Amino acid sequence: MFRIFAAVFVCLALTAACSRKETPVPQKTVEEKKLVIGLIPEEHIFDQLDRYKPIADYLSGKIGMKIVLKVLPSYGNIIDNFVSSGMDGAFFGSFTYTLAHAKLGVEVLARPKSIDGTSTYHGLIFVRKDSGIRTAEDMKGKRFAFVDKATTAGYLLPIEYFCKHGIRNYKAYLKEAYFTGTHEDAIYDVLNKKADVGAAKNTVYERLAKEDPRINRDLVVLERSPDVPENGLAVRKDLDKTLKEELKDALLSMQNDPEGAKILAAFGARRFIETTDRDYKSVADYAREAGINLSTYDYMNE
Amino acid sequence: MKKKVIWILGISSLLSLAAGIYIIITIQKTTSELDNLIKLHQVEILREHLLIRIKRVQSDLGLKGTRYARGVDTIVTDVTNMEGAVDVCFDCHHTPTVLQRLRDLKSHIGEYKEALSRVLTIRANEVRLEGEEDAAFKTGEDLIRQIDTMIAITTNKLTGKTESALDQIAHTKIILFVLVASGPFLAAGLGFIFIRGFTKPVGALLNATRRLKGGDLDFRVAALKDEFGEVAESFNEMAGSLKEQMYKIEESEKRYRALFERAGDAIFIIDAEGENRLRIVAANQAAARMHGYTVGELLGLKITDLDSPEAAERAPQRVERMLKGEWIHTEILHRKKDGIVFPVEISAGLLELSDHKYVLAFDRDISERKEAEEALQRVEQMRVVGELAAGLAHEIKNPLTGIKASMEVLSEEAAVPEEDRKILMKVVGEIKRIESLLKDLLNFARPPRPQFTSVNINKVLNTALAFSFQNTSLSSKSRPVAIVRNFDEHLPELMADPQQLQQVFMNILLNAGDSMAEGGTLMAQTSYDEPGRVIRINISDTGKGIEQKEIDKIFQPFFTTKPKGTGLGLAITKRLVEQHGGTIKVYNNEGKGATFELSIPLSQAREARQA
Repeated sequence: MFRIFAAVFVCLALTAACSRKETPVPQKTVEEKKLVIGLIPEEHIFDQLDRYKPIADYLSGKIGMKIVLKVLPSYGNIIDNFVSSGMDGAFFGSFTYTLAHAKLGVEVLARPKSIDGTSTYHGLIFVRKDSGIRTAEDMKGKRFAFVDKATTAGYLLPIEYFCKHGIRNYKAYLKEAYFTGTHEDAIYDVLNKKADVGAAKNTVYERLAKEDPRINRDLVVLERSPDVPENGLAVRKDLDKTLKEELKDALLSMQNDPEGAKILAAFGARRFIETTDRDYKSVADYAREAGINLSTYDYMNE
Repeated sequence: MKKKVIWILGISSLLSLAAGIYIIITIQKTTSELDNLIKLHQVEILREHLLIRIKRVQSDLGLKGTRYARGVDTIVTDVTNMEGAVDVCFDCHHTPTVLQRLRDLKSHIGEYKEALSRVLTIRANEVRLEGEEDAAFKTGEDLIRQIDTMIAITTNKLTGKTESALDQIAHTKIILFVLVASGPFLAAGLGFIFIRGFTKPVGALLNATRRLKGGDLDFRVAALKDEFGEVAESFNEMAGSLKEQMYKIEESEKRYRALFERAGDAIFIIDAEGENRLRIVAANQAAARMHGYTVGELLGLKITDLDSPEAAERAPQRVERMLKGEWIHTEILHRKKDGIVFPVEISAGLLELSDHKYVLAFDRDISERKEAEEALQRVEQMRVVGELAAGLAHEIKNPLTGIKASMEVLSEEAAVPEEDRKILMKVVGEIKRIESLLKDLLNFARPPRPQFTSVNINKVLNTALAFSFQNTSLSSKSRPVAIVRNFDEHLPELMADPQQLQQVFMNILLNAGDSMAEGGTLMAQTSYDEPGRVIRINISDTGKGIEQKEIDKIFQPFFTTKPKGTGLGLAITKRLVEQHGGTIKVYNNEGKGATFELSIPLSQAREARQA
């Protein structure tokens, strides 16, 4: 009988031991130093976050400082919110950088070089093939999906395009002009016939085209812009120099690290290359061509 | 039994093990059931959680553009949380159906996210904006409905599962109670069977040993099972063997007891050490007979109680010698129960039994031997005295006759004055006395052969009485002696020498008369002992009796208490009686005086002639 009791007790003890789960000990939250990096809504803001998170985590590990990503609903916001949100840096689009540099003096550190070897992009103006729109004239009275006033591809290009074709007031020329906020939405709005003409950057266009065959099948590109530098990481000018160097080094040597290489591949880049302010000269020139005075330009969407 | 015990123990162990395993499995099953329940609850909570997240995002959406609108960061956080909540669902194991539903949900959430992103990022006219917002809101509502459905399904399932789990737990509880409660009963039952299995045969064996102890060597244990059967068989064999051994011992004991009991000599076993030192431990019949006790009486005595005082004094010394290992042979005096002391020859030594020391003694009554020796000694003494006396008497008799004749001649001379004549006659008288003494001496030393004729004892005794007490100084007025005749008138005649018998009676009667100086009664009694074919004659007086220390010597020659006695009268008497094959004894009467007791056989002729 004793044996039965013993067996029962042993089993109960074992079961108790087995079923006991480690209760997490609440960690003391220490006000740790962190680096806030802003993101522009190049794609869906949530996808954008997902896309950059691995790089942010990798850099955190390398510089020994937590990096917090902060996505913004519009390109223009990043310039306005850079200081107020306490951002230390951001992955700026080419035009936003040009604007931010002019306004805030941010310094660019590096930008990705894509798998195919390019480190630039260009803007595209596209329509549905079945829309019959092929020229600027055809666009009259049509709906135009811009991305953002502060984008090269999603705004500078169409402005320059209209300018080139003698259309000064595109708002009056078009039936409707609106800003999707993201390149992705601009492409899909045209594809889904929510808009007749759209403008977006080729990198997003090509990436989406790989996932969705309708893009290449149903859309046709009417215009492209000159190449401008791909979105790069720029930091506030007063950021600690050492940290700045560390960040730059970490980004530039990422491809040498197996983990870094993996993250780069998922990001769709071969490596990060060193980037300076000079690389954005073409953007400034292009803006001028589009009749934009950078120092007085109102980059906020209407 | 061993096999049985092993079987029972094995089975009970297996049962215990089975019960233990069953309990473990049941507990495991129940806990996993509970675990499942908890998980289901968690799932429900998670789905509720997800629902809340989505609703929050929906509210974010609803508040957009109002003054309560939340910041993009907050909305992003809420969406991230919402996504996190749905991702958690994938951490659990699900059936493919549920998994598919979750995947649908996830993709739906993806669509919702896209719609949200659009709403957040788009800058357009109100119509377009509202359209986007409505689309996003609708997606959100669809999502909420979808999750509601899932929650309903989960809840439904949960209720069923909870009920079944509770049933299972109740069932398990009952089984556990039954198992735990039945455990002691099972143990008690097994214990009872065990104890019964042991006590019953052990009781039988115990009873058998008691019977055996009680001396019932014929008792056998009835057939028992298993090893007890072997023990019983062995026990029965032992009982048989014991009986056989006992029989042998009894036979041996009987033989030795016969030897002990029927021995002619007295055998004693005497304690030689401890408190009961010298106590008689065992004695045989011969010892009892020899000392006039029963065996039982002897066992209450010490050996010194049988010794004469002198012998008793030296007893410890003898025992010491024996304890040193000496086997002693000695002659000492023992005392019978009635006080008679008799000589014994002892042969004794040490006997060790069970670490205790005893004395083993063989005593032989040597009275007869002693008497024979004494008789022989006396005969020898008599022969020497007789020869001496005869020689002496012969040598003295002749000169004495000459002296007597001379004295008589001289006394008859006329010239002898009268005074001298009287002296001479006195000398002649003394010479006659010497002659009489010499005659007695010759009679004693060389008694004349008896001349047997048929004799009437009563007549001879009567003559002797008449001759002794009539016309003698033994009975006079100054010392009157009454004669009491108590004769058996039917006495048979016996063959004897009447002259010698006369002399015997005369000697006794003269001694009796002498002892009654103040007068008294003399009683003469005759009787016939028919079985012994002897005539008894008792002559007793009421005189002064005989002193105890002299009573043994009274028949010895030359022993006398009288100033002028020769000490030959009673010695001759004894000799004459013995010549007739009879015996003579003397003892003091209880009141006064002494009695002489004679017994003379009717047919003593042959022995007498031989004597």
